[in-house]
This record gives sequence, structure tokens and C-alpha cells, in this order.
Amino acid sequence: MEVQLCDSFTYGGVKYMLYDSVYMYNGDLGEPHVGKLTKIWELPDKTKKVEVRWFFRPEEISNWLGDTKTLDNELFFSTGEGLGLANINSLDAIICPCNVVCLSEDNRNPQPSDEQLKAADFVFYRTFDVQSYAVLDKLDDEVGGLESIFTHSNFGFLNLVWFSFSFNRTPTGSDKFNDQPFKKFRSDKKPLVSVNNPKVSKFCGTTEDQKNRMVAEKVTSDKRLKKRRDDGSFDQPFKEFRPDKKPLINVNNPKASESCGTTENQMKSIVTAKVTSYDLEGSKLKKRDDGSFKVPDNKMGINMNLRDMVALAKEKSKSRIYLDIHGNKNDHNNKEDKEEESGECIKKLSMNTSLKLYALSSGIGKKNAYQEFVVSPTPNAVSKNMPWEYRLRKAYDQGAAILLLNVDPEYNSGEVEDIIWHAFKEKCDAKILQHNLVSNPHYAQALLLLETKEAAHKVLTKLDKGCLMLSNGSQIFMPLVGTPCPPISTKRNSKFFGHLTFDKARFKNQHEDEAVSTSHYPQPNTIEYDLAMEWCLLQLKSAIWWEKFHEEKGKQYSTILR
Amino acid sequence: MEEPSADEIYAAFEEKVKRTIYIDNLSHQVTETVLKNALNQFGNVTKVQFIPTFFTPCNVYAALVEMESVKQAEEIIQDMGDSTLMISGMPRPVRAQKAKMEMFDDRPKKHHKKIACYWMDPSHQNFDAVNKIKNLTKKHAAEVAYLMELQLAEEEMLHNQQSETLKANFKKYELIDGVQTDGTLKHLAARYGTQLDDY
Repeated sequence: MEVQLCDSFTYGGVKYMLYDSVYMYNGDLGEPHVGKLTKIWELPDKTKKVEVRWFFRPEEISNWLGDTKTLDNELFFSTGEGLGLANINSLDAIICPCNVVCLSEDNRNPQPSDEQLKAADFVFYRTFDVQSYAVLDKLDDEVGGLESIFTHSNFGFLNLVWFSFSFNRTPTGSDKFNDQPFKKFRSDKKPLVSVNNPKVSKFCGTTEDQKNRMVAEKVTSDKRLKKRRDDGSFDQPFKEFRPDKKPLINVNNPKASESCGTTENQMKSIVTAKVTSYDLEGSKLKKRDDGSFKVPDNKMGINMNLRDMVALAKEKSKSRIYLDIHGNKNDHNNKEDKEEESGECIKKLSMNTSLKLYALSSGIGKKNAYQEFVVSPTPNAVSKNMPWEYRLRKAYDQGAAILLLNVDPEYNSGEVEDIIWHAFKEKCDAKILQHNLVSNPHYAQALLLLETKEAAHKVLTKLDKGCLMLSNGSQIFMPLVGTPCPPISTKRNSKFFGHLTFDKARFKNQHEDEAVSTSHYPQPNTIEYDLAMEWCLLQLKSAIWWEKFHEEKGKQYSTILR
Repeated sequence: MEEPSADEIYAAFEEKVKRTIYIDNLSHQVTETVLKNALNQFGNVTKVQFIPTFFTPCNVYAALVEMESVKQAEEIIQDMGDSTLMISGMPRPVRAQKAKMEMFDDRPKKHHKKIACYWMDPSHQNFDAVNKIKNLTKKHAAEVAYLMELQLAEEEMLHNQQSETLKANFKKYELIDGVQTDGTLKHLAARYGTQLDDY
């Protein structure tokens, strides 16, 4: 069987190199794992597999950490041999690249700059040995045979050519999601693009001149770009680079077009153009870790990379920048979520035209360009490819999460997002919470993840002061109510009552262990059965009192409605 | 590839709902495989999805299990209603019900619906009433949270009570067992002249 070792691969529109660090799926709602790609190979049937060597989060090895303090975003690289060191996975377990910087003072390791540190998702300088369960400070001579990781883990910013927002990030290394409002660095008038590579600055001359925006444009067959800025300087930069004048990405941000010129909104339309990943010579710039990109062979260098760049910009600026990546990009959408998104976009289009809005609809009129598309997964970008819980937690931490209490149960999440967009001009990530047996049958609740704390605050105050009446066509209007998101529970502090165990080891035999971990129907003549009956009784009572409760609530509503 | 029409999608979704069982009263340790294995005894499980609850104190740990056919789903629900199935621990049994549409988070849109919304004018005659409704909604949310807490308290009480009962029973059995093994029972039997059955 012919198996070929490779150096790199492309997946989900992103190029991964050997020794890149990546986020790996960990179930639907779990925090993703972080690992380093240590081997890539291609099987005869053209599928690829990767060996991933794991980074441990401090909480995963808390038992063996002892008293050592760990940094907020510290990881431990695995060493030693055996279970837990590495796993072989297929490509679909990869979520997106991750920026892990090595802080080790080993002389093989080029020390990271401050900027690199700030840009990093995680840092590591210690390892955890999976055999001896020990935390080691020094990186061994071979670090498990991966000397080469040193040259890769900190791709030099020297090779990397990119624009970056040069705003003040708060100094703590762990503050990955900067909570600063964009107004701040807008007013500082700092140029948004700081070019690190002289080569690029040459041909990106115009972009540097630009004040605060760079937009990659793509003219698709069905959509034209809306001119977003008054001075119309949007269209300029990229047309310069690309000889055949085919801009690739349509940053269709209708918000910006309708915005009343508030700086906040303006900022949201900014896309950092990490355009410079292709320089004039068309030479390839290798993607090292997550920051750098590999320019694909076609001359439309921007193709996938802009996505990445934009997403990187996203994580830097923490704005949700939506790209319409129709047309050229649909073939890169190999993540289901994204498929769904584009499908949803189409639906939204048709829905939007039928939306009736009063009062607030200044200029909304022909709302036909609301396209929402989240860029491909990249480090730190809280894109829709991250598990929902992850995004929720991030939003909650920033104070940008809202709970809507009385959404019509027939809506789905996309519709809620549209409503919020139309009513408040805020883009959000919405999720209708699933009902369980104790939920109010008349209404659904939805969680809104807004982009910033200010946006959330604005939505809440507006909802409180005014009355946004919603109906679903049945002519009954109800005012939408929103509250700040209540504290999120973690699995650890939820209690579950009702499972009892025997203490005595004597009674535990092989059989019983198995029984507990599976399921069974108890026999009627056992104690189990009696106890179970008691629980059944409680469950029935519970069902009844919840029913009564919700009935009461319904009645209270109807009395007011009279 | 033709995209199915919205109607078809919706119909498919409705069908899926019919095939799905809503199970709650699950322990937090139940994983997808456990649940799958548990229900595979009765039919073919196609998918398991846990319903996430994000806020405390809602303690309801539930899952949606999609079965191969509507009939299987209905049968299982009936069986679980008649007798008590326990998963991953005893004695609290799990509870199964028919799934409802609101329990799914990936509902397709009912495309023919028009969503209309507007901001009500403060001078509108019903403005006050509407505000009352808003306050009522918030109050309800608080009440729900409270009821949930009360329910948890009840559960805890039952749990503790049962724990006591169990311990007491256990002690009794141990006592008897102890007496049997160390021969006291035989001794006593001889004393009283009663027969001890051989087992």
C-alpha cells in the first residue's frame, strides 16, 4: 500500500503546513482540543490523515500540576510515549488553525516578539509527559523528536507579510478578545494598516494611504457592491493589485451603508486586507503558522486568503465581518455550517423582501443585499464553525449576550437574526433555545450574541424603552422582551439527584459495574423498583405542576390583552 | 442538484420530529453511546442529540433520540411509560415523551409566513398595556427560575430520603449476611431447635 508523506494540505480553504497548530473538534459542545500536526500523509485512495500531537490545557492536567501557576492561555505540549501523546485523525476533525507561540528560552527557539505574543491564541513553554505524568519545564533535546517544531512554531513575522490593525490591545497576554470599542482606535486615527514587509508596502502603497478601510471586492454575477463610503475610496486598492480587475470578495455590509455614520458601525465594515500575501512577483509566501498564508497557484491570490485574512482581521478587530463568498468561494465551503449559512442567506434574501418595517426603516427599502457569510475558520475568529457554547461563553464574557424571552415558537434562529438586524441594525448570532418539558409552551426563548457590549446594551435599552411588536402573521402582536444573559452554567456545578450507589466494595462485582453504565429495567421485586416508583411519582407531580404553572401564565397574559 | 423546496424540507422535518423521542431525567454522565446502546435494544437509533441548557439553575438534562421509524419511537415511549428504564444509574428512571418541534434547534422556516414587526408609538392607546405585558414576561421568567429551584429542592429531598432508606436496608442485609457467614445463625438455629433451610 502506497502511502505518501506530505508537507502540507489544504482543507476548508485553508492551507495547513506540517507542524502547524490546529483546533480539533471535541464533540459538539466541547471546548476544542489544540494539537500540532506532526505528520501528514496521503493514502492510496487520496484521502489524507494527520497525526496530531496534543497540547494539554491546564485544566486537563490539573491533577498533576500541583501548585504551579499557569498563564491564562498556556498550554502544555505532550511528550513521552503512550496514550495521550498523539492521535491519528482524518482531516474533518480539524476546525481551523490555531496560533500557538513557543515561549521557551531554549536557544533553538527564536524568542517571540511582543506582537507575536499578543497575536497568539496560546503559548507554551512547558511540556507534560504522558508516561510519567510530569510537568517538565525544559524542553528536551528532541522534544519527542520534533526539533523542527522550533523553527515552525514561531513563523517569523519576517516572512509574514500582512496588514494588521495597530490599535492598542490590552496588555494581558490572555486577552484574546479585546473588549475595546472600535470608536477608540478610530478616533486615534491610527492607520489601520501597518505593513511589515517592505516589498509589500511598495505595491500596496495606495492602501497605506487609505485612512481606515480596506475592502476586498468581488463582483459576483448577481450582486453588485454597494458603495459604502461617501468618499468612495473603497473600490480603489484592490483594483490596483489585480491586473484583470476581478475583485474577489464582496464585503457586503449593508449595515455600513445604512449606518448613520456612527464610528462604531463604520468600524464594522472594515476588513483588513491581508492582501499582501501575494506580492508583485507572484511568488508564494508560505503559510507558516496561522498568520501567514500560502498563496495558491492561481494568480487570483486573494481567493482563499482574503477569507483567512479577513477572519484574522476579525479576530484582531473582533468585528463580525461578513463576506459574501458566493460565486468563487462556494467550492471552498466544505464545512456544513457554512453550507447552511449560504443556504440561509438565500432564504434570508427572499424573506427580507417580504419584511415589513415601519418607523425604523430609514432607507431600508430595498433590502436585498443582506448577505451574511462568515469567513473560514481561523485563529480566534469566533466564527460559526466554533461550537455554539464556545461562542456563547465568549459573548457572555464580553457582556454582549442577550436573552430574548418571548419569541414566537415558530420562528427559527435565522429569522430572529433578521428581525434584530432590521430593528436595530445590529448583526447578531441567534439561537432559539430548545424546549424541554419545563419550557413555556407559548413562547420560545432565544439567545442573541451581539458583536459588542455596546450593541447589546443598545438593543436592551431600546427594547425596554420602546415596544417592538412582533407577530407571525396571525395578527397577534406581542412586545419582544430581552434581558441580559443570565450566568452560564458549567457542567460541573449542575447537580443531579436520584442516582444512588453502594459504598461497600464488597457488593460491587464485575456485573454490577457494567450494569450501572448501561441501562436496564429493574425487576418488580427489588428495592430499586420501589425507589424508582417514588421517582416516577415525583416526575408526574413535576409534570403536573409545570403544566399548571404555564397555564396560569397564559391566563395572566390574556387578561391583560383584553 | 436541485434544492428541495421549503415545503418539502418542512415536511421532512415534521416527519423527523415524529420519529424522535424526547428523553429527560438523564444523569449528566450519560453519553451519546450509552444512550444509543440503551435504546438500540428496542429499535434502531439514527441520531442522538443532547439538548443543551445554558443557564443555572435549570437542571433538566435531556436528549432527543431519533429512531428509524415512527413506530419504533412510539413503542419505546409506551414501554418507558409503563415500566421504568434506568440509564447509567439507579433508581431514578428516565422519562420519555414524544418530541415536539420546539425542541429542535434546526427548524427550517415556514416559508410562507411573513414576519411583520414594528415599533409601537408611545402615544398608542395600548402602550401601557403592552408595557405591562413586557413586565409580566420578565416576572414569569423569574418565576420559572424559582419553580425550577423548588423542584430541585424536592428532588434533593427525595434523593436524601431514598438514600437513607437504602442505607437502612443495606445495613439490615449486611446484618443478616454477617450473621450467616460467621455461623451465629446456625448456632441460634440449633439452640432454638429450628430448621435452617439449606440453600
